[in-house]
Amino acid sequence: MEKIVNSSLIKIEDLVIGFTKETPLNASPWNFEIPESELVAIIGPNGSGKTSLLRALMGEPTGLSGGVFLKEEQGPVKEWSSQKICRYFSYLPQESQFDPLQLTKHQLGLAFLPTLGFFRTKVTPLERERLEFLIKESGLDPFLNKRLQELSSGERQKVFLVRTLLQNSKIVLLDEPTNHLDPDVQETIWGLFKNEIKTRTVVVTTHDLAQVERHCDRVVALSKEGLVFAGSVSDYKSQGIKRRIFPLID
Amino acid sequence: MNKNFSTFAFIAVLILAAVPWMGAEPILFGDIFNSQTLGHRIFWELRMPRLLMTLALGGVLASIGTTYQGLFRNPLSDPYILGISSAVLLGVVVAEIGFNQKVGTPISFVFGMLSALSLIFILMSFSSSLLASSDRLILFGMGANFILSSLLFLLLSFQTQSVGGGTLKWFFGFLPWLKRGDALFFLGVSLLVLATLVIFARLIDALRMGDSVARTLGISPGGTRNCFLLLTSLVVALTVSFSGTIGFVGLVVPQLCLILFRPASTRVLLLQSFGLGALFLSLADGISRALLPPFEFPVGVITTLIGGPLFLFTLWRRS
Repeated sequence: MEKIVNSSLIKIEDLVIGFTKETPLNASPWNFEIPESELVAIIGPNGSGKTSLLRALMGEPTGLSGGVFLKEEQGPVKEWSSQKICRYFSYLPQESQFDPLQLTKHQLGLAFLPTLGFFRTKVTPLERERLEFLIKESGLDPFLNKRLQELSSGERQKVFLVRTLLQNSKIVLLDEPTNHLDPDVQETIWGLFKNEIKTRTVVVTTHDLAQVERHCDRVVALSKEGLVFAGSVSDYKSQGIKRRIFPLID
Repeated sequence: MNKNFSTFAFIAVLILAAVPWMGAEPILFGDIFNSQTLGHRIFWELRMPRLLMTLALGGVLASIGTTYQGLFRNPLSDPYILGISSAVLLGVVVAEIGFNQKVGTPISFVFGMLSALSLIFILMSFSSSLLASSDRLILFGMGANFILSSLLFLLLSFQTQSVGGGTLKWFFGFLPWLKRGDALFFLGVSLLVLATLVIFARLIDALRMGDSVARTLGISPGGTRNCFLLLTSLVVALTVSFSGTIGFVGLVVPQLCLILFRPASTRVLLLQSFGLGALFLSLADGISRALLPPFEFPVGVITTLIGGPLFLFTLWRRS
């Protein structure tokens, strides 16, 4: 069944990524688009620039030149203020830094920082409903009053993931979100992503190619040589992209 | 945590009750209610204001230490890490050597503050590149500290005669005697600083998760660090101009609070540090006066002598 392609939300224009100007990751600049309300996977071998691309999407300096533009918004994302960025992007890094003594519920509460400010502590009924839904789905209930250091790394990863999803943003950027998670939880999490894209766009970097083929709408495939493919998952399958970036697997 | 906290509260009351009795002149308990006696005057006009001042100063130093340790994600940060204290010391010594103004005089104070303000100005004008990373800030502070203290020792090395013992003592923290009104004003200011830090503590919580995540939570990492640093360095400059450098309060108190009370947020840690820092400095001040009366040791020497072993203790508890 072919999904109707939504209008484009993110426009990547002449983007070059990397850490220093002298050593860019891609020789030729990238141009592609990401539509609204899709689950997008960024795949590729280690060191191909998945994380750098993800961070460049939210305007971080890993985007060396060119820019990322959003529908109906002025200027490239890298020139935006953080007040504007937080309305559009929520972000889960590959390895989260954290205060080991922090309580799980306080970590989750940070998701409301963009909407709450300093003095208001009460969340809206809608936010509460989402909070309760995500806590129930991810099974975080027993951990809410525990400190982050008392959690296993998988449980902690779930906390950070739920915080990222909880934040009310138009685009969710997740860097290998299913790291440390057992297969059952991974299944739940991919289910959560499917639910999220009813209202917003989710971009994940991952090595889990089976889940990509099962759940994602769109694939951005990178190799050491640069961008191999950016398009729908059906084109990704029919063109045999998987073998082009990972030649050793069948 | 509750057990620790009630023990702490008990010790706190003991210390607060004991400190005003420490000092060169023994005071009879009955005298403090009799306004005709010398004991009454010493107790209410000297030692109580001094206690209030040490509470304020200790609390401020510890809460700024907490702020820096959170902001720089580095447990070795203390209020003097950016070199502000060295700048004040240099200004004060310049005032003494160049203009014969002893420490404690208004002109000496102005020299100390001006010197600190110029360092803050340099820090802020490099802010776009420096504030982009907390490591770079710490390295900047190290560099500034080295350069300024070399200049200081350069001046001292060929001007030993002219620098009085007062100034040298003041290097290690020396507390002035204040009028009651001034001490209360000081306490008010310190509570204001604490309140400001507590209100914005969630920003530090967010920054602890890394700059990228903080940005997606609507916080500009550089701008936030900038504001925190401007406020805290001004306060640090004031405290150093006022009473020299008092080591280890800002370094060891937050670490001790983390071990003793295990606070769940920066906000709570700030409040606990303020309390423990206030007690720590007032006790150290009491000891500095009671050890060998009427001689008064620089309070910074006492805090370091107590704080150093405590710091090693926190290291041992961490492992």
